Amino acid sequence: MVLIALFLACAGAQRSPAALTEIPVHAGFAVEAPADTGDVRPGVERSMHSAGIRITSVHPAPDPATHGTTGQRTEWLLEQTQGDLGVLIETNARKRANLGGRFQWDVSATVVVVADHSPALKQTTSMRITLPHAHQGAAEALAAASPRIGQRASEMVRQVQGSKP
Amino acid sequence: MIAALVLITALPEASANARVGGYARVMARPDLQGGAGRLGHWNLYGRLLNEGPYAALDFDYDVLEPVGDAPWTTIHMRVEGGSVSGADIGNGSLEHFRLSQLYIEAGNVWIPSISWQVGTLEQTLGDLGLYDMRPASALSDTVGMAATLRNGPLDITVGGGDSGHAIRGERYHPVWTAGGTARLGLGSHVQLGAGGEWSVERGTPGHIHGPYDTPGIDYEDWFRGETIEQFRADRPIGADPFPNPQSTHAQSGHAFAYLGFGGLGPLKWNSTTVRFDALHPEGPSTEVHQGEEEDIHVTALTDERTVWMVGNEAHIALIPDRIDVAWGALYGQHQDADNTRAPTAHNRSYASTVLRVQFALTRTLALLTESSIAQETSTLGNQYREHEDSIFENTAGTPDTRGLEYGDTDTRTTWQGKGGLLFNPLGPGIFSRPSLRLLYGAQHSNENNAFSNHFVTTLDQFDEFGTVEQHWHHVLALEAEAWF
Repeated sequence: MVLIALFLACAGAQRSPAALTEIPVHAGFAVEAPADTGDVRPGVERSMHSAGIRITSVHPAPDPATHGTTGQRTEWLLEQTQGDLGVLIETNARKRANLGGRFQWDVSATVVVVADHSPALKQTTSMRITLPHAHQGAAEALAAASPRIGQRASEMVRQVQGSKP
Repeated sequence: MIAALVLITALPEASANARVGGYARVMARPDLQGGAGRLGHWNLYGRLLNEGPYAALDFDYDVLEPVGDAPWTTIHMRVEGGSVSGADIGNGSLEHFRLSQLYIEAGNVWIPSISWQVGTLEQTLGDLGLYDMRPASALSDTVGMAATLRNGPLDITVGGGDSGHAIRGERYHPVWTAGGTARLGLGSHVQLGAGGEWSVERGTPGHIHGPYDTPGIDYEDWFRGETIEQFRADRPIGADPFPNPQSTHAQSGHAFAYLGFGGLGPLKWNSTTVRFDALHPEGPSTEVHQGEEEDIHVTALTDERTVWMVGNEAHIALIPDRIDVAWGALYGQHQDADNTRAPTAHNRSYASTVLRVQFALTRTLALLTESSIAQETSTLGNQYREHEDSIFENTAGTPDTRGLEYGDTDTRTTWQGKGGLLFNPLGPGIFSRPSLRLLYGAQHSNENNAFSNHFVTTLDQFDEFGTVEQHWHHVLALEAEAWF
C-alpha cells in the first residue's frame, strides 16, 4: 500500500477540462433501431463535456425516411445549426458472439464534424463491446460505447477547430 | 488458422465483412514457495490468481450481411487455448490451442425470424464470472444443427447433433444429443431462463468403441485395478476366458433454470442458476495382470454419477463509477451411487462465497480487493493430508496400505484474500477491460501445500529433497486481461 501511495503521489495530474478552451458545438444523433438516441447521447455528452466541448443536442433526430444517408444527415445538421460548428454521430450495434460467458457486440460509429465554409471531417470506427449478460442488447452496447465515441468526437472537433485560421 | 484470419481481415474488400474479437489473459507470477504460480487449486476460491494464461481469437465473416428481411449468412470460428510463451509450462505451444468453434449461421431462410446454425452449437445464458463457470449453458459438446427464434423478449434455441467426438475423444462412437435454451424477459428487471440437453449413446454390437459392460465386475476390484487378478484368483485352475463385454446403452444430460433480476437501486444485476447433471458413463480402462491384458468395460459402474449445483452472482454499484461490488456464492454436490467405498471427485460437496470490491481512485486507476472462503467435503471418508507427515492410504484414519481413504481429514477449508492496483484505460467499472493489474494474494488452507507444486510427499527415508509443511501461500502477480 505504501508503494501504491508513493506511485499515486508521483503520477502526473491529468489535464482538467478547465485547462482547455471550451468549444461550443451542436450535435445530431442518428441511431439504428432497436436502440435510440437516448442510449448514446448521455455518454457522448458526458465524455465531450469532460474534454471541454460544450454540446447542444439538436432535436428531433433526423428522420430516416428523408435523411437516409450520411450526406443527407450532414446537410440537415448544417441547416439546423445555420452553419455553426456541428457534429453528427451515427451509430449501430450488432451482436457478434458469445465469448467466455460474455456477450460481445460490434459497435460502429461514424462521426462527422462540419461547419459552413469548412470541409467536413468524417471518421468511421468500429469497436468491440463485451457485455456480461445475455439479455443486454444494442441499447446497452451503445451506452457502453458512447464515452469512447464522445472521446473520438471531441478529438475531431478540436482537430477541425485547430485547423481554422 | 490464425495466419489465415489475419490475411483475410487484411484484404480491404474482405475486412468490411470480417469482424474479429477475442480474449487475452497473461501474467507473471513467480512463486517463491514452490508453487506453479497459482494461489490455490481451482476456481472455487474465485478465479482471480487461480487461473493461468489464456487467449482466444474469435472471428466472424459475413458472406451475406443482414439487411432488413433478406436472407443473411455468417461464418464464425474461434481458436483458443491456455498457454503463452514464457508464462506457463506450455510456453505458448500451439498444441495447447484448438479450433473450439466453427459454425455457419443463416437467417431469414424459409422462416423469417429464425436463424439456422450448423456446426458447433454451444449456447449460454451467461456465466458466474467470479468463478469463471457457465452452468446456464447447453450443447457445448455438440456438433449439429440448431434453430434460434428471437422474438422481442423471447429467445429460444433448439438443436441436436453428435457429441461423440467431444465425449469419447479418440474412442469415437456417436452420442446423439438434443437440447436447447430459452430465455424470457419480463420487463426490464426480470429474466427467466431454462435449458438442458439429453445424450444417448446406443450400443453398436461389434463396434470396439461402443458402450459395453464387462459382466461380473466388482466395483472395488475395478477401482483398485484388480479385476483380472480377482477373476483369476476365483478360478485358480481353469483356463476360463475373461468374460467378453456385452453391448449396452449409455445416456447422460443436464438441466438448468436461471433467474436474473436487477436495475433496482444499486443492484445492477443478480443471476441465480440451479443445475442438475447426470454424467456420461466412462469408457473402458485397461488392466494388465501377469501378462494378461484386458479392457474392463464399466458403463454400468459409472452411470449413476450426478451433480447438483446452485450458483449466484450479484453486481452492485455501491457508488456509481466509484465503488463496485461483485458477490458470488456456489454450492455443489457430487454423488456416485455406484461407489459406496472410495472417496473420489464424484463423492463430495462444496460451498464457497467470493466478495470482490473495486474502488476507482481516478477514472483509470482502481484498487481491487477480493476475498473468498470455501469448504470442500468428501462424503466417503478422508481425502486430504493436513501435514507433511500425514498418513497416506488408510481405513477410517488407521494406516492401511489396502485402505481406500487418503490422508487424515475429509474436509478442506480454504481462505483467500487478494488485493492490488489496476490500470483501466477505458474507465471505471468492475467489467472494464483491458485491465492491467499488480496483485498480491494470500491463501490459508488446512491442507498441506494446497496449491499445485513440485514437492516430494513421500516419507521414504531415502527421499533426497525432504518434505515441506506450509498452510499459508503468498503470490505476487503482474497480469493483464482484455476482451477485444
